[in-house]
Amino acid sequence: MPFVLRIEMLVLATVVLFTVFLAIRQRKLLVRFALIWLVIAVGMVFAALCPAFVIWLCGVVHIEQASNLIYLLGLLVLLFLSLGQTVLLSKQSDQIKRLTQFISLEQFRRMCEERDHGDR
Amino acid sequence: MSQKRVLLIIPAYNEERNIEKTIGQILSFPPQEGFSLDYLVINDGSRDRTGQICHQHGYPCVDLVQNLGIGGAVQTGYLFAARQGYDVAVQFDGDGQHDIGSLNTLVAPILSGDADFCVGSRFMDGTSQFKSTALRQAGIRYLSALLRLLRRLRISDPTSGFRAAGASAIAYLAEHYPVDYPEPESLILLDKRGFRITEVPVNMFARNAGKSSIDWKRSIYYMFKVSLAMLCACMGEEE
Repeated sequence: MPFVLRIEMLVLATVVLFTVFLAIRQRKLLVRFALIWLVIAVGMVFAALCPAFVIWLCGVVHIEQASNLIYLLGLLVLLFLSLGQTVLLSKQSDQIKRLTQFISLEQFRRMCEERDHGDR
Repeated sequence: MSQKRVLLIIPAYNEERNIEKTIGQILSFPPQEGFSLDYLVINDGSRDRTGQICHQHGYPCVDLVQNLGIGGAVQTGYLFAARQGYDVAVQFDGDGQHDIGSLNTLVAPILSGDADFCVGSRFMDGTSQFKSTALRQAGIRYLSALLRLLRRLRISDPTSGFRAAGASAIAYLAEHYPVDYPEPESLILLDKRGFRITEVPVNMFARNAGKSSIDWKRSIYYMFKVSLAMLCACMGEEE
């Protein structure tokens, strides 16, 4: 595993960790959503510090270059992360729809009540 | 026997040019022996004067606090119907396309207990005044064939928005209603849940004013999306 790649991964992991902690501090990111990014950053640090593990994994999945495996893993992680976010987005769209419906019906109920009181 | 209660659910998005005529049509509908008739406009976050017109005239109108699209708007009507214990809920477009004169035909199978859900078809007996393009008719035929293929359901007009639901179907649709272009998909969901679906001929008019929600340039996207939604609904888990 090239030395430069290991340094790059350590730098990138540091940037990810720093950005995530900053976002949590500024309350832009909830801790429960930050967790996955922290796991990714720690994974990158581990891979940079233990190249033997990466090389062993290359042998298992029959990929010649360690850098190719790193890129593949990065791609897969982002793909699954994106899928997870789409699922979350769908769930929240449904929740917003339900909220809109309940609030609007409640407003209508109150409007009818006020009108009935006015009529009396 | 107590009189049955029927609710017309009228979704309206930017229908300032049609809504008065639509409600006028309903108000001029003579009282019926078999049921009492109420209506509820669902103003789907219109940016024109639809909501104001409704409030000025005192039409019962739920103003959705933001635009939800046709599915979310109609579902709000079903939610209201379920809460208020209506026996039948009828979807009735705010653009004046649906003919209130066909209401009795549409609700008859539900009131008699022969069906849980009834679709008003423009094509069953060829008497409807509705005129559509060859492309749209081909699309409707395709969706009809897909329904038959997937669920053995024979519905000649699966995209019709003039439909009636009985109490059990109201309760189901209040909880489960597709969001975009929901008509064909909801038929699959209802059929899967074992609701009895039937179809009757109804009259529809050409649109008074405004644009249809589907312009033909988007019809290919529509067909693809609806087909996919129908397939997914068919394969989805039983709730």
